[in-house]
Amino acid sequence: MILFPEGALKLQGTGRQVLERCDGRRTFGQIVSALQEEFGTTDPEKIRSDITMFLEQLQRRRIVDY
Amino acid sequence: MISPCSWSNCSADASWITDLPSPLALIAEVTHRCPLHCVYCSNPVQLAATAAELSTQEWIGVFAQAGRLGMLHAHFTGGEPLARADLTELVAGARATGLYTNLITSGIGLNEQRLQALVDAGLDHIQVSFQDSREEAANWIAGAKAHAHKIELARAIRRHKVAFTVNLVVHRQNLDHLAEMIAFTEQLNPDRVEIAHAQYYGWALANRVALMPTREQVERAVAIVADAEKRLAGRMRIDSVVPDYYAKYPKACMGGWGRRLMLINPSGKALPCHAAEVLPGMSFENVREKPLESIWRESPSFQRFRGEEWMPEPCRTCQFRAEDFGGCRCQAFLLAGDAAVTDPACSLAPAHHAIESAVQEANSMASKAHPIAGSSFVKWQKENAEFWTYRKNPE
Repeated sequence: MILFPEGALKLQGTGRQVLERCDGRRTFGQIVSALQEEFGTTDPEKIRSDITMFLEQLQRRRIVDY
Repeated sequence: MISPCSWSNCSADASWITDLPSPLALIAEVTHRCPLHCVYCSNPVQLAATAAELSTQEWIGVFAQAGRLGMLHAHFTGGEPLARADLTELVAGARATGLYTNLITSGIGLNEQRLQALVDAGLDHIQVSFQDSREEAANWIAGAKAHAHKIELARAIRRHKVAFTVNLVVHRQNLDHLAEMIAFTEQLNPDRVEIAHAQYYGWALANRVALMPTREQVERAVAIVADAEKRLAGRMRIDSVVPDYYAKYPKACMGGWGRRLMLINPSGKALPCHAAEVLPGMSFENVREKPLESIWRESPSFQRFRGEEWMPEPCRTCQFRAEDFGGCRCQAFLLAGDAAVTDPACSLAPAHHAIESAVQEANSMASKAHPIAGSSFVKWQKENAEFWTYRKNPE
């Protein structure tokens, strides 16, 4: 669960896996390659663009910064 | 719905939580005392007396119950929460039960040291209101010399690890320079800005003639906000709402009566919304006498307008009834004399004429004043007595 001003997000599955890796130390590139490795059967470019889109949505809401 | 899940097998990665059987947030009006006297204050005109305020331990007990009930947020508001000397303890108490803590404040009573203590106690988010970008006007609206201190405080906040929102309350007297107010806010560098049109409850209703914008002002404001949203995307999130007097359908007040939010007033009364105490013939239970959960689930006051059973026509058969819940019960009472009718802000409401005549009045009068430079509340109060009424303090 992510709590922020005036709202809350319940996270499961891949969304949760992305955000769990957002620890202020790992870079965007590191997070992408870790997940590309984990989901080896999926097109790596697809994974990169999905993570980009996900984090951009959260950044617009000022939930993550990167 | 927001999700990156097309590359794995899940259909619901992250959903915005909308429907929980428990309330989502507790609004803790910890005191009605306030060093500001804002003319748009939505507190009840009958403020809760200082002597009747809940004690530190009583509040901490309320937060513990809220945490157990599954609530997520605690919003500390007032009055001015900082007027409570035990605020840090209260925040720590709320945080200890897992609540996300939000302090809604004027900033008066906060210095670097106290801010540090609050952040150490686990404060997650702080929201500071600004009355205007121009010092003279801001102090005139607040009836207090507060503006310069707020700017200083905003800078201090950014030196701490806490989320920061600036709240701009807009109305007839300041809407003409909204673009300047947004530019001013950018310099304060918050994560988020709320552009809130004054809502006409409590003191704001008494001052409606001086506060209500013209249609032209509202339309220009909408365009300015849309422009700023585009320009500031990813840097500063903007949340704003069209004022309901100029909307076609009413606001979903409190996300529906007894559906998401629970407000505890300074003396422990549990209310479904900020203004509910104005409703005649209703009695509200007190956390000193009943557990929070039983008030939420069983009290007659929380059940009175919950769901759709109570709805009159045209709400009862309206396609939007699950979106706006018939609007605001307090506004229905204040403008139509009956809390159980459709909110007059709705264009379909039988009592919509009450809104139409207020809109007509606001658009036919030249009710704009020049800010009066003041030095003390007494002076502001005296020199503006004909124009508006400043919020007073409880006994």
